[in-house]
Amino acid sequence: MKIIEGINLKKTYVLKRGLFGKKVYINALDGVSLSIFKGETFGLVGESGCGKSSLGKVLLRLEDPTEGKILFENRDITNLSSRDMKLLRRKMQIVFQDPYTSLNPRKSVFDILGEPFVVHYQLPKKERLEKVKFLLEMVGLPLDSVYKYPHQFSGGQRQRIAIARAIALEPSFIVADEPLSALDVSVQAQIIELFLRLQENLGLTYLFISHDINVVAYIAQRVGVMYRGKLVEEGLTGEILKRPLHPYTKLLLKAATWQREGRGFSQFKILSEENGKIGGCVFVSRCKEAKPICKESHPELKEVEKGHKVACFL
Amino acid sequence: MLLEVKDLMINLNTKKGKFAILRGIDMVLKQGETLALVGESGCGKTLTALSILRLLPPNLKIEKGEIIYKDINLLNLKEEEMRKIRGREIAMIFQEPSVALNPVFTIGEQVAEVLRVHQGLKKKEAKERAIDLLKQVKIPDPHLRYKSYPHQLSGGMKQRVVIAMALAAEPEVLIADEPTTALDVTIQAQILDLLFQLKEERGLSLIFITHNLTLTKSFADTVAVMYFGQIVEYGKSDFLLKNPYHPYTKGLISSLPQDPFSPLRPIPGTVPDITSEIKGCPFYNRCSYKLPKCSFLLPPFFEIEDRKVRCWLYEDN
Repeated sequence: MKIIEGINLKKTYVLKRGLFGKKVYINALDGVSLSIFKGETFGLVGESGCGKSSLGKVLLRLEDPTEGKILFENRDITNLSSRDMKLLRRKMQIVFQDPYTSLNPRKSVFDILGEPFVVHYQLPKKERLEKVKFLLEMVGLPLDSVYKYPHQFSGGQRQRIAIARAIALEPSFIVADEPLSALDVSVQAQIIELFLRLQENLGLTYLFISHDINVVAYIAQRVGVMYRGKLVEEGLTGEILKRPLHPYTKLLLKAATWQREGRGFSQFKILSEENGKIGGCVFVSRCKEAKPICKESHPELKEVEKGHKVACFL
Repeated sequence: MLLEVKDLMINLNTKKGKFAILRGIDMVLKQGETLALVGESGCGKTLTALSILRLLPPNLKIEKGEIIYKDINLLNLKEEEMRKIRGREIAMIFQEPSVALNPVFTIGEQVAEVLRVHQGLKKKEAKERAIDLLKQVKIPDPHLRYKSYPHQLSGGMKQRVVIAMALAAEPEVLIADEPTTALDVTIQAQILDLLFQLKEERGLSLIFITHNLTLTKSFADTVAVMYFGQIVEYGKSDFLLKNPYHPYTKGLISSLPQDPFSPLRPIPGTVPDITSEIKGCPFYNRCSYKLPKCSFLLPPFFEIEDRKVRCWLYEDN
């Protein structure tokens, strides 16, 4: 069953240059469609600026799409009023990248984790304390953390607090937006384990956004690869790892092997890092296998075999 | 022996008192060698590098130790003498290229400035040499790019410019502090490739600082794993990665997702707070191999063949 679906989502940001300057448009999302099924982890990879965070925010309607539709549990939520959205927020939550900026430094853990219960259920203090203690136990923090403040915790512990806040109202869908990249290697592994354990206990569905394909391969059942605002490949994790079809996915995987094994980086020939703006495939300026047609139009995302989609003319 | 750090200790001075940040670092960089310093944030790897160049912030004080470069103790030099070492003898590349470059000068001017200051070149010569350097770091169209400002370049291109600046004064030792951490994976590979190619061509000696142990596998000769202001394991890189001895090194390797089918084995717990007083091994509370004496006795280095490990488990070897 689909839990959330985005149909042809577009998000354009406008940058103004000076007082009379031209407006510059940036297409953070350029017609992305995807569905996430109940209980799965969908991993989204791509490099910085490719639009993966924008996609996460648009799906939760933390930002409104310029075009396109969002369905949550088969209900169109694209134009819901903020009152209706508030009810829905119980079911969809987000964990941000940097636990140093996502927690209010002037609030104690009790305030941070108790707030959702005030906003949504107006629970009295005593019951809130029960709830907060329960949450702390779920994410593996000591119970004496209740009246501490964020600065008294390490990065990994802060991320645990942020995760506790996200699961407070028992949501069904969580967007995890690069939740590991601000953490040290040994702590990253702890947080991955926590995500997996919570998913098993609470039946959560994740959209797991990361630039690290190694991590995504470990945690996700299905993977989407984004490049410059477009989804260029999508499929089962095993399939994509074994038989990547898009040249960009291949490049990412090579880089991942290289990171894992520390070998073979000489095979990376200097291709242009600049991104072409003119028509054609988004990846054409960096693609080794580009053909003339790639410069003229962007290939559609097509299903090559069951569940494996790719946007490439090859 | 080109550069040797002996028993380096650094304290942080605050109103609350002194806290040890580096607790006795010993390491050796040989001519033409690549030495990798590996560890998590806060373990002191960057501070070790900064103290070699004597660029520590004022609240950090070197308590003890020597830094010997070509038979001179850098810690005894006067500031003007030190200025001749920085850049010309030992240069450094920082993590974040957008911070390392001045946004109001073109990249060409910034490279040329190094040449004018250190090599005493005239303006025109400096420009020619700068363009040549931009070419060596494989920036396409160096003549045109000379006039670009940092914001017009991508992160990878900016890091290439920073490398060109570091090489401009023809140093013997290059310290690269997480030079690829701010870049995307596909670009990381290209930059490292470039860095090691230049290192070979110019016969540089390199200190490479990273938090990613596996990055050291193919190109570092020696690896020093740091934890809580100390080196805990030190040895030849290929052997150390294949067969780590220290429980922390083992933990670092098993925390990385290697393949989707073998489970992760994270290191439990967190690094102790620097303000806490620690008598025994600082890794004690996270270690799954601990012995009773680890809690109150700091292990010295034990040598096993050409490896050094700071762990009581290897006392009898």
